[in-house]
Amino acid sequence: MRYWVIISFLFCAMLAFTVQSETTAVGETPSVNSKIQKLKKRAEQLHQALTQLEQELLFPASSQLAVYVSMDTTTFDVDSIEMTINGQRVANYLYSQEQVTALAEGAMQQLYLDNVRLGTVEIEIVINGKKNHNSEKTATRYNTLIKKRFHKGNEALIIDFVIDTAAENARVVTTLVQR
Amino acid sequence: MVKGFLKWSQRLLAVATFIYVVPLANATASEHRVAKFHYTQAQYRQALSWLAGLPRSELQAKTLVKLGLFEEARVIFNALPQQNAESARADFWLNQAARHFYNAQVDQAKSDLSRLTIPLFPRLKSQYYYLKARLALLDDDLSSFYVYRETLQQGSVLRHYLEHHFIVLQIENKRLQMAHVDEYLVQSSATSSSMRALFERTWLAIGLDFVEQGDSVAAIAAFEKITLTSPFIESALLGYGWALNENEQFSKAHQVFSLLAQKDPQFYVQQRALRGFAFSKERTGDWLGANELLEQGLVAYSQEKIALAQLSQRFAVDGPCLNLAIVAQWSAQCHTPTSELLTMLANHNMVSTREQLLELASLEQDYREQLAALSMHQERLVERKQRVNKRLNVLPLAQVLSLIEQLNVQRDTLNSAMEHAIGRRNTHFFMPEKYIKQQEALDGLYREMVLLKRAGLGNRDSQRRADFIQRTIWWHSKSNYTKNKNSAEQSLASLNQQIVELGNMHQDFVNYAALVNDIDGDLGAIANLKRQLQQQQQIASQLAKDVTQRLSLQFINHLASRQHALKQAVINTKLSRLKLQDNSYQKQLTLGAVEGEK
Repeated sequence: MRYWVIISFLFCAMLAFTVQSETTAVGETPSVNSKIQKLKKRAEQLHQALTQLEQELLFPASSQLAVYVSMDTTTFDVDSIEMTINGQRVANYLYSQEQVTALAEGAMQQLYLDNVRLGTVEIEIVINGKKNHNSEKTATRYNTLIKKRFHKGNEALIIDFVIDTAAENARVVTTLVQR
Repeated sequence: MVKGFLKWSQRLLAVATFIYVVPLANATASEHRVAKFHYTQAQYRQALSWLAGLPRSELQAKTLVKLGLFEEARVIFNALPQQNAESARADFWLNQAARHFYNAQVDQAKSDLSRLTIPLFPRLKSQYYYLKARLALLDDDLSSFYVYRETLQQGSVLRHYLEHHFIVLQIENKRLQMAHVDEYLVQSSATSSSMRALFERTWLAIGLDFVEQGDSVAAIAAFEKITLTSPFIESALLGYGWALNENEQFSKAHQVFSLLAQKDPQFYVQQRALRGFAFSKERTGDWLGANELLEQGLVAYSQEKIALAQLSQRFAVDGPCLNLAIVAQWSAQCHTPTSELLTMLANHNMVSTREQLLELASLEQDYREQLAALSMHQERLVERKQRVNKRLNVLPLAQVLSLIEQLNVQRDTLNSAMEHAIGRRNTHFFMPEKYIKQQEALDGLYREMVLLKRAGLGNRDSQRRADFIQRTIWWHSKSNYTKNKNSAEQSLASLNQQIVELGNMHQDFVNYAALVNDIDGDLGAIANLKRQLQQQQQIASQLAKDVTQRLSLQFINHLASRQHALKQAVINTKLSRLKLQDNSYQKQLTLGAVEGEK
């Protein structure tokens, strides 16, 4: 009998060992972790260098055209934007609620980046969305077209498309301006 | 005067600031805003690319955290002014504390928690006090632990986990008392299946501890709190059976072991279950059954020994089971009844090693993609360079240049001759080609007439006709002077235009040559990037190899320890069999003696 009891103690001790707490695990890998951190940091640096190189190779300033979208209002929900350059449709973007919120909080979207020939560039943007009237808890559908010509020289042509609402008459104001 | 100068310099500085700093600030703001858009879309790499070179910001720190670059984020959060990014900073330090705590870097976890400013954001309070309580437990500082524990809401998940770790600590320190168990009994009311599992895990630990303490009654009470559907039922039944054996409730113990055998057909490989079951069988009078069980166990052990040796090979570097374990997949071929690998895999060290390997694999994939992108750009550039070189070779630059120089000289000579003719009103100079030829023919005629006259053959009629023609030519040259001059000037302008065009062509070629130089520069940059990426790839690959080897070694060592335990189990089982046979022999001997006496 005593023999069996001793054996039982032994196996119970072993069982107890298996039900160990996670806090008893000794971390023996900080050096590997720090090496991985260094590698990751270096990988990010190399990725940035590659991105910059790609940008210079694929979109040189002499032919680069970039269009950015931003909102200076919180009462407009943009649904979609369509953009044509010299009559050719080049961008068609549908916005998620997160993206609209980000734009309303000051984020800026790079809508288009490509190469164009030197000379006149005609940009046409169709915007769909709704203007919220906070006081009345209603919304008005909004659909408009904005068209403007720019001259593409040897420098990169950067265009800002800004959506704003004029408070006094609750209109949506869109502007296309060269940066 | 000095004041005036200062005023002027301030104005100049303001203008300079407006001209240079304001556009720069605007550009910076735009880049920051674009980065923000990428961040909200979870495109953290793009966000970081836009933020590169900008002043340190909360967004940059948050992006670095998302990319797992905690050290970099730590530097930025430290550098940001205290009043900025308070919420993000608090989140960061708390997450860092948790990360360090679960990596068993306790000092760093404490240091991270000390950076959190009080009062805390309400959403962080429970997590903060939970970590504080866990750290207090590790320090065995129970008074602080009780204070922190009281800040957690009664019945909350964190409070339940804290109670569990408190009990586990008491067990580890061999201080578990009935008072703790009674207190835990009050706390442990299941609210969800996960909480139920947590309570059962705690009761299992309590039960096993009481078996070790020799308090079989308390152990039985603890095991009876574990339901039959519990994930720990097999361990619980085993402990329960032994506690019943110890309490001499052999019949009930036999039932419990039978249930265990039902739930786990491989139970006889586990020496504790096998011998517990055999003991209860023997005590309930089933000597043959007990003996048979032990014999079956010994057969199973010899098979298990082979299986463990094979498993050890499967966990070698590049072994199929090791590769599956790295990606957290499991196969029936990758464990045996006594390998206890599931327990090992759940170990935090193992989890973090697996995470490290996955991170390294993702880095290697990243390097491969970047190298592929670089190779593509390199090919394109080489092709472009060849194209440009071809165009340059068709028209030799030096020849074009010498032609332009010759034309320039000719143009200058013509220009000065024209100016000279205009100054002297030399109308003949601008005559059309037709009249110039006529004049040349007439001059030849005059020369012949002079020769004839010298020979005494003068002809007055011819002389008169020649003079008439000469007068006609003179008349043409004078009357059409303006027209002729303009026509000559137009020709000169046209020549100038052609020279300019040639110059432009030459410039184009020069530009092409420069383009080749630019391409060479880009190719150099690509080669440099490629070299750096390959170096990093090698480092990552070596590190992955080291970690894999270490992981493999951990598995192999674990399996070796299991093989050793198995060896021990065989010895113990053989001893039990011997004891059983001895008991039976003694019993038969006693019975024989009694019958003899009768």
